Order: sequence, then C-alpha cells, then structure tokens
Amino acid sequence: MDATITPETREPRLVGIIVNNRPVEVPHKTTGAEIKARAGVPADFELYRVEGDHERKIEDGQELTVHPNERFIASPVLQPS
Amino acid sequence: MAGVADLRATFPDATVTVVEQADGRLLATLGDVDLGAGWTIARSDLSVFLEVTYPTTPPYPFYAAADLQRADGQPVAGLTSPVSIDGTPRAQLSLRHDHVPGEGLGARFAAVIRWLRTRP
Repeated sequence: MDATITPETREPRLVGIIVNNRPVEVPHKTTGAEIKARAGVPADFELYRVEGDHERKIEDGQELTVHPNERFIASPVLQPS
Repeated sequence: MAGVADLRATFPDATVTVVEQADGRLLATLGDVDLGAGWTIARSDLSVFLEVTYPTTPPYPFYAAADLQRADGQPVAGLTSPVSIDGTPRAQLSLRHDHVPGEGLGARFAAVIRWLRTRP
C-alpha cells in the first residue's frame, strides 16, 4: 500500500511558545483553545498574547499563527468577593 | 520563591519588591501599575501577601493606593478603602479565584490589572 505523505497528512510543525512563563509546544497554526489545552491551563481561563507592553485577547476559536518564543498569559476571570 | 520569579518574568520592565513579614508571609509589590481610565489616580503600586502555604492558598486580597476610587464616585464591588496594612492606609481589592496549576503569580497580577482596566 502506498503510504503517501500529503500536505493534509503531514504532522503540523510545532513551535515553542511561552505560556505563563512556561515553555509549550503548539502547532505553527493553532487556536486559543489549543494553546490553553497544551499549556495545561483550565479552559475557562482567558488567553492573552503579549505584544510589547500590551496584551491582546485570543478567543478560544480564534485561529492564529504563532512564532518561536512568543509570550502568552492565561489567567482566570476574577470576581469580587 | 517561584511565585516571585514568575511575577518578575511576567513584568520584566517593572519594579517588583518583596518584603518578608515576621510571620513568614511575603508582601510582593508590583510598582507603578497603569490602572487604565476612569479612576481618580492613573497609577498605583499593587501588592499582595503570599502566605507560607502559597500556592495552595491563592493570592488574595490585593492592595492598591488608598485613594483609589472611580472618577464618577460610583462604588465598585470588591473595592474597599481604606484598610490598614501595618498602619499604612491602602485600598483593598477583594477579587477571588481559586489557584489552579498552570497559573503563576504573574498571571494573577495580570488578571487583577485587567480587572482594574476594564471597570465600566
């Protein structure tokens, strides 16, 4: 049987990023939900991409292309108590 | 402490100070935080006591400058001022979420800052 590797069957390229100061490997093209899952943070945490001295929220379903050593912060939504 | 290192790594351009208390707790302070619009002050230090049982005991509550209040005078749930921390008046930010693995101290401070910057 011819096991042909096609672009559709090739394993995605993994990129090392930083989530909450911990190294995580994710596919080069990924989603907010996948980043959180691979980082081991709860799904209900909010994810932010660090861009200089600003942060941009990344939604769970949002597709993004990540680059090596990009930094992300995942944190809970805090409630007054 | 790993939490303080995480805080410094999350805010590499900010001043982070840590003062050990007599009871073993650590008072971690992130200096000169931009609070965003709508407050009577633009910037404040942000502090929290780390219990000896941290991270099992989550960082809570946080403290800011005593004169922190909304510019429109409206009360803010979770904000109490003034409270006294070792004789120094501070505003208390009672914002809670259980600590979970994968969340460092830096991410918690980031969540508090985000809460301050997104008040209506």
